Amino acid sequence: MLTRLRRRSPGAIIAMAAGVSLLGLVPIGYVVVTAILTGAPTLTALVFRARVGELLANTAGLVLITVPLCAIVGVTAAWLVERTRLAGSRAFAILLVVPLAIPAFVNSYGWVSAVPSLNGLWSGVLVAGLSYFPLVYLPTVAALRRLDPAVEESARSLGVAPLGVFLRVVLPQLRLPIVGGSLIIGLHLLSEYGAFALIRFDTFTTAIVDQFRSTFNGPAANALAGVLVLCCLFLLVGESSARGTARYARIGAGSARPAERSRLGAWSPAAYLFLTVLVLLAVAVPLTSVGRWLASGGIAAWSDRYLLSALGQTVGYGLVGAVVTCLLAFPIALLAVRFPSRVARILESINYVTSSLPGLVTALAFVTVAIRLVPVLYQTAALVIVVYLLMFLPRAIVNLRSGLAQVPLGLEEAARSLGRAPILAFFTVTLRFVMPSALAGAALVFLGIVTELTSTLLLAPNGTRTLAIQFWSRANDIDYVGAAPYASLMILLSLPVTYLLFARSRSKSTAVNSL
Amino acid sequence: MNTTPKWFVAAAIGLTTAIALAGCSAATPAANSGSGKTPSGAITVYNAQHEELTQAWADEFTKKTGVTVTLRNGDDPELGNQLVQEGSASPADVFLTENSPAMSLVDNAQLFSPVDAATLAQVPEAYRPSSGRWTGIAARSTVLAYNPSLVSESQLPSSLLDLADASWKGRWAASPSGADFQAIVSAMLALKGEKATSSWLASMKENFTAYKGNSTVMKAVNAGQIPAGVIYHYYWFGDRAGTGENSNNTKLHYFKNQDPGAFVSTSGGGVLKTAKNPVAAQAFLKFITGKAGQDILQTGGSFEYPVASDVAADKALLPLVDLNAPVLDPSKLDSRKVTDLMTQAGLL
Amino acid sequence: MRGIGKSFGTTSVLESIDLTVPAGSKTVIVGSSGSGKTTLLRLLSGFDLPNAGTIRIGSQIVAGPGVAVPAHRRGIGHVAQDGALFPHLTVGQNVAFGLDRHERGDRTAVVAGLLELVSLDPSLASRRPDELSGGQQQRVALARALARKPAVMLLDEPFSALDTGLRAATRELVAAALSSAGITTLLVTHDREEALTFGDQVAVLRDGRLAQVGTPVTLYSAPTDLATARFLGDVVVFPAEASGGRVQCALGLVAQSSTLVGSCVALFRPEQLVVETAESGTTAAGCVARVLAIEFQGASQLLTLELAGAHPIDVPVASGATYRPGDQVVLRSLGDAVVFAAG
Repeated sequence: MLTRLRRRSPGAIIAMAAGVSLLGLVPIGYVVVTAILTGAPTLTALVFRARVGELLANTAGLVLITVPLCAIVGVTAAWLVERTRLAGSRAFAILLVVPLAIPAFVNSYGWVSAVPSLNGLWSGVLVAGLSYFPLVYLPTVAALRRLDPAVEESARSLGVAPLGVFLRVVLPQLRLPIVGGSLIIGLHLLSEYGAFALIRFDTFTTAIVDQFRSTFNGPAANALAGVLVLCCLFLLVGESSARGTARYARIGAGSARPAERSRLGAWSPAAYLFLTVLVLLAVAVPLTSVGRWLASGGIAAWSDRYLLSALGQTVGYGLVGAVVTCLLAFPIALLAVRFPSRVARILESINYVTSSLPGLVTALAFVTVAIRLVPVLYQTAALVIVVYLLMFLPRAIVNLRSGLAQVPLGLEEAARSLGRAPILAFFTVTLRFVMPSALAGAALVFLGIVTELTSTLLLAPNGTRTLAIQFWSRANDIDYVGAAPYASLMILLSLPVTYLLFARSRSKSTAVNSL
Repeated sequence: MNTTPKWFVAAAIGLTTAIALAGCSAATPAANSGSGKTPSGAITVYNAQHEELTQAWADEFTKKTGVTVTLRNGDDPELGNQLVQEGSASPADVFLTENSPAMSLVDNAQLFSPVDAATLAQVPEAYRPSSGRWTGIAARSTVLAYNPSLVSESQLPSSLLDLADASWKGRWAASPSGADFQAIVSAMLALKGEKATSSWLASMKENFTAYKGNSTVMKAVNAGQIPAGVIYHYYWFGDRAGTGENSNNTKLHYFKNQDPGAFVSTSGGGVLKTAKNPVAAQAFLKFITGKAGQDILQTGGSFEYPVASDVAADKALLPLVDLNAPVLDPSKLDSRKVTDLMTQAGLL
Repeated sequence: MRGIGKSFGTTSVLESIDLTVPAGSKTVIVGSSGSGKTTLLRLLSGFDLPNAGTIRIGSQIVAGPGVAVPAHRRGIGHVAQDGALFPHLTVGQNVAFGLDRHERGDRTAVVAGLLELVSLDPSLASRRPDELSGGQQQRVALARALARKPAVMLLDEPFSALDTGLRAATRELVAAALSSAGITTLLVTHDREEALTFGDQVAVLRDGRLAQVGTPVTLYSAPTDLATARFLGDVVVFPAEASGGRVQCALGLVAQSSTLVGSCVALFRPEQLVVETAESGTTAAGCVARVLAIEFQGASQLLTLELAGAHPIDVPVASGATYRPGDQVVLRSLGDAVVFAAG
């Protein structure tokens, strides 16, 4: 099989995959090179100072408190919705995904305009936690639906009470979605700017933006970016060791039935209270805020001269970015599925590492590289798309991979035995199979671009105003009324993609954990 | 020749080219500043001024001349540093700021071409550098906004420096990441020197609460979260002219006495040497400093002070002459030193 | 079990099931898929509750009106279809999972003992379940269930996922292990061979009802209805006419034990039919048939025979004798026919 496919010259595929991955090395290369150019004495002075200590304490506190909290809330909510006989669990199942359609900085805007005194670490934990817990909730739901209930029944027949079954059997099997979701939350916490800036909570990222606003790409901004990159790598290493080498594949061939749902009995009111409060805080508060400002702005707020063009530009960037990202992800996914090798693995993982860097750092790198080395690209939409590509590539790769893996090779071969040329067989058979996962990947990339703020702020060509940029400039000037139409448009654009994620979490698909 | 390292050749060629280019571009403004030419086409403005204000100028200018104006919005030091980095590759024609330090930054990098004489003639010398490579376009005054229910009039500081006192610990706010506050610090640096400034910044770090943006500072004072905040005057007047929801519980305190806290900051405008459309760029600057442009400052609800063409300020404002501001050469304010000092103090 | 009924929504899955399993014996519940056999097992395990009837283990009622002992307090071992091993634990940890805390002290020894009991090498204890073959996984699952020393062991089609060769061997090992431990065992299967070889008692479940319960021999040789007969083995069926102790069918007059009289169906197991060449002479209870086709099967060959007054039938004979299509043979039956009312 492999040798036959070789005829289709994977050399070209490798070259394409390598090209994209090399691009992905630019941000880390930038951080390293600027660190070297800055020189040890300056760098030491910039890194080892009280302010960096403060930021490190803030950032570490934020991650260490928010991530476990999100994991607990996400897993509890997933279990209640999937494994109990709570009436209305289907409605809760949908409502708990809605926060994904509300960008964190819009959520923060909703909260801070309702409770102006919000600030500092605990407010950061509150707002970020409410925005990000679905990143654990959603893959946990998917995993719970895939678990073989016979395994849990075995545990019960071995004399273990329900709580013990949950702790000793269910929870360990949820390790992958919990650890994976936690990593993604951690990375979001490290790279989020708007949500924390609005509630005056300083992290590395907000401090880098402050430095950027004071010095463009000065050495202090770069030094902070270096520390931030180290934090990201630290999280990545932590995740991979927490994930361990354990496999959690289903053993055996029996078809999984839906699992038995537990009766909560006296615990029902507490469960309802938990889910209701969660939905109120994570969905009702921000949406009510947006609604309130929309109402007080009335029709006039919609006549904002930039509203339509911002919508057009946002959708345009989203669509182009999604298509480009999916096209360039294809060789990487193909390589990983059809020609697995060390090179393929390295090329693929470069993209994962790059995308886990804050968009701010990637943007900073490309602004500098473009100014100094490729002025033709400077302040062009093409450069914005390149940075979007690097930020969101894994969303497309993960989906394409699972799509490609599901294509029965036999079909393609059958098409060729029926006289189709290999390339034609590939296009007529394989692409059709992959289309749904490609669309899902594209939708996720689109969602990412629609709500992207910091790197767009840095890179946008002159005159570009996306929904996120306009929202931010209004919200930042405490023009809450003016920000509301932009906030609501971003939410409306995100809702369909969020629903798609929800639907996929309930099917057998494994690719929900790619935000 | 064989012994000459390649890098040396490359550097020599680069340097020669740069000098040649600099010569060329230095020569261009003279050719272009003939005011007889009619502006047309389009210009790109790196705008650090308030978007609404510059947009009002741009709209009016477009109406009069047909020149399309594209804005890139940002902060003073951000856009200033960006221009320096971009150098000759910059797409900008015009640079507008809220404060003068960023103008000096760009000017020190030799990126401005001289402002048309006709434009300079509209602006009093106090509001432009003697070099004539940029000009003041508006001005704003430092104020202390305070909440009378939390701090009485008698407790108000007589100097900005007093906010370093222990009695003000936890009782005042500012937006240190903004160019406005950094301009105020640059005035202090020019007036009191580096040593006094960095020790004041160190006390500030102990005493103050950081907010992002002057509006946010004022809002916090209004809400009683903090007794006082250092801001610019026009945020307060702008809010008062609207609903007043973020200023109704606050009053303004002017330091006067040529105190650093009485600093009046000059907003600047300049035309880049590398401007693709220098004629329209110069015309835009002339328009802003002309009667029509300055009238927009008087009546447009920006509440910034007009500085040129003898246009008076909005009637709600304290007249500029009554502010008793310290006398400073706007071109001597050093923004890089300020960010360095503030970074050292842990404020950035 | 007395009067067990279970329905999901409006679909009735089990109706008035009565079954007694003697302590220490092995009972097989056999039925085709959808007959409700897995549901029955789940009621016994406590994973589901019956809508009617009572389940008693020894003297304790574990399910019935107002009583519902949860699964983990029933002391019933359960081995699922594919073993349902814990994928996140090693083999040893799987086996030790149900041990009480005080037993965990000498865990390694206990686990090794249990693995040996199911004929597995104790060195497998450190492996992951997905590194084992299907048969090994089943035996680990059994060892895990045995660790609890349950009074009753339920096996849910434990051998169905295994290859044919492995299936018989694993079955024998498991049966032996359970017998030596003296555990009351219930095995559910759809496999007739498994049903007849594994248990002391066989219960045939069809459409949610128990069709017949008895020893394997009784069920095979004296089924009470045609469907049960067909289910437990191949059959040859002739329309017949019964009269006191005898039945007239295509094979002639054959002895039968029912009291049935009149139009009926006579049933034989293929191995009851003896084929003789025409030359060896005709005996009393035989008939002449013509060979239509021969299928060579190795040790035996399958003859398709045409009889007067009946559909063609398939009869296995030993390999060796040579037949050709068109040959005349004589067909004779050994033993009694089983007779059912026609219909």
